[in-house]
Amino acid sequence: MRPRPSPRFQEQIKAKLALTFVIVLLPLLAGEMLALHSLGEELHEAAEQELSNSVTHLYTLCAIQSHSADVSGLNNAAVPDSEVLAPIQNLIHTFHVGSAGFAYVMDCSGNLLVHPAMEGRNVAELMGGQGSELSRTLCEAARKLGPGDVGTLRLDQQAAGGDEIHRLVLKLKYFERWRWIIVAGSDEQEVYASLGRIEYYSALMVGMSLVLVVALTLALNRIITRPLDQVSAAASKMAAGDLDHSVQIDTRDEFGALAAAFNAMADQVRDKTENLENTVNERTEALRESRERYRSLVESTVDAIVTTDKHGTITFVNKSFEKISGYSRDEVLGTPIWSHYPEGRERAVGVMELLRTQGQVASLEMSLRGRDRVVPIHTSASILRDAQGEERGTLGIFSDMTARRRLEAELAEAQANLVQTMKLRALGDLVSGVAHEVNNPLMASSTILHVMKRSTCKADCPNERRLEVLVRCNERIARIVDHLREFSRQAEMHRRPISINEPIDNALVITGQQLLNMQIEIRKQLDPDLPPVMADANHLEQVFLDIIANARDAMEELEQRVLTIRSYSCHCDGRPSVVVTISDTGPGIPAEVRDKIFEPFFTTKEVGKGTGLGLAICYGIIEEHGGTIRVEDQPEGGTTLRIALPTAGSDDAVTAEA
Amino acid sequence: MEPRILLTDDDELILIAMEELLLSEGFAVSTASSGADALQQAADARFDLFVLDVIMPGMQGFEVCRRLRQTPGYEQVPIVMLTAKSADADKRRGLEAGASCFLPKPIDPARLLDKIRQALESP
Repeated sequence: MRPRPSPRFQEQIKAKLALTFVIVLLPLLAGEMLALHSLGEELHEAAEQELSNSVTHLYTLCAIQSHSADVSGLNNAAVPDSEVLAPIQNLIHTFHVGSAGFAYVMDCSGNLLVHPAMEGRNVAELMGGQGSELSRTLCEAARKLGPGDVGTLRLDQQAAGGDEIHRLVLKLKYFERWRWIIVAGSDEQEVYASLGRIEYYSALMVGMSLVLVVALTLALNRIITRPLDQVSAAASKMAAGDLDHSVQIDTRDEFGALAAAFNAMADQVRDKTENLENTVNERTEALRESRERYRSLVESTVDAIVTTDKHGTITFVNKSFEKISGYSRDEVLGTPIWSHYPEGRERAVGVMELLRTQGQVASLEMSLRGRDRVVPIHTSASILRDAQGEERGTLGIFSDMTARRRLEAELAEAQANLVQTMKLRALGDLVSGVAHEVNNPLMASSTILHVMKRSTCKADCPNERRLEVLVRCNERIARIVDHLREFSRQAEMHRRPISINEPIDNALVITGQQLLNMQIEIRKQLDPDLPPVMADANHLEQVFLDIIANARDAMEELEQRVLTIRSYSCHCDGRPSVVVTISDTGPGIPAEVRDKIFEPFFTTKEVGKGTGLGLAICYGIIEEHGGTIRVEDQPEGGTTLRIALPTAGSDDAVTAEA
Repeated sequence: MEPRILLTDDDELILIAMEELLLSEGFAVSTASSGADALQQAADARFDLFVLDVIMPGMQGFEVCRRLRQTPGYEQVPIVMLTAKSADADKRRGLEAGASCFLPKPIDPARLLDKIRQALESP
């Protein structure tokens, strides 16, 4: 905040103070004027009253003197003698009202009978025509008056020797006995002269009051605004950031208290500011640490983290994104996120719709277009919002599923193998048990037959043929049991490095005559320079015998009978291997049963001809050798079985038993 | 005097069949259905050859064989052992226990007779 200058505020205070005084002063002045005015009136009335009183007084005195003259009998005449006259003269001579008040006694002829200055003279003689006029006016007015009345006359009279006109106020009374007109008068201006003086002093007082008020206002202004100025200046400095400034007012009044409070506040603000600065520093450091922690968290996490703005433009990627995608940060920042989805923009729009309806998505299976490959990813995403809840963009976390997918595939394969192995184990145990149980009755049966044949049929007899059937039955049972025992005995192997051609040749030797008898053409294409395999020759011979027997059976009813056996070495199944293929020209294996032919007890042969164990045994044996056996597609018909075994040197070859 | 043979097997069918076979060939035959029975009979009478099944409830063929060898007069008598197990380990155990020969079940009657005759003739 910028400091705000405060002269206006001081001006306002001054104006308010002045206004206050004006408001207080104006009624005061008005009251004084009113009072002066009524005072003037009163003075006027009082002066006139005094004149009236004087006239009445003189009249009363005349009456008293006249009466006492009567009593003493001194004077019955119309004109009083000097003894009677003396107190009246004395009174009039000393008469005094204001500075210009006067009193006199006059008769209707204008003779001034008693007068302070011009006794015995006539008015007409003194003042000319004006005097006659005056005496007549007075006489007329006086004669009209009753014994109790006081008359009043206002006359404008030009002063002797001057142009100035004086207004005279005359009070008169008529003392009938002596035909006296008793007059008391005064110059009206004289009456008001005192009033004028009062007005003068009043005006002086008002003026002085005004001066005093102005001075007081200025002084008050100074007393009030100066501390305010100081406080204001200090506040301005404080606002400008100078917190070390304090207000120096040591008075014990409200301003002192204000200054003290202000200084206390300034101290507090200073303390708070210092605290605040410390807190801000601490928080900044904490924030920096927190940021660093989040940054390292984001950068060190295995998952790719991507943020976009609300248009889908990438605004941030972490290191893992660079690692997973193969693109550098600079290459992807600012590009639309969907350009990294092989499924394109539609996919991104789909994800956004999911996000808007569900708020977030978790472990969505997607793909990311990397620099070198399409990476399978699991996407978790959420919408980023600002403090107002406005959508700002999205946050995506991509987990690279490549390794996981591979592991899953391997696991699935391992599980399948394990299941197969366990199936075979369980079956082996079962078969072994069955074989064992069958053995004893079979042996007993064979023995008894042997005895019977020897003892009963020395000559040709019908039972001989029947016994022969039983013997053959026993033989077949024995063969099945043999097979079963063979199957259950797979684990017992004795491996040594051999050429795969060895068991093949052996098997062909055993079956050769039979095949020739069935007019089966044998095409042998064996590579003489094969690397050795680590194998049990007898077991492999068993395998080849079985497969050859199957081929033979398959071609039994056909015209063209060719058995092809090939062996060769190759780098297949990811390792150096030896491969044997055995093909026949039979009807082939229907696709729907191709998966089942290695399962135990699965057979396509007529009842009694096959045990359904042959290929299952073969499968088990080849598995045990770390090899693979499968049926290969043959476009021209017939069946080809392909067996691959790792060569003795390769890692996967089963090492020789100790 | 015809050689006396003691057949020992827990399977009655085997006992009967082999008894028939050996009787028809002119041997004097006794049968025992357990190891304990066989040892008892061996103590009671004199036999020229023993046919022993390996797997029997109670005392196994190996143990019967070992005890017969410890019985005075039978130190050198031929003992033919029959087993459904043809494993080499079993064969070794049998020979260690003192068996003269070790034959897998099922055995061809003619072959069994051959083996018995060979055993009787050998010193």
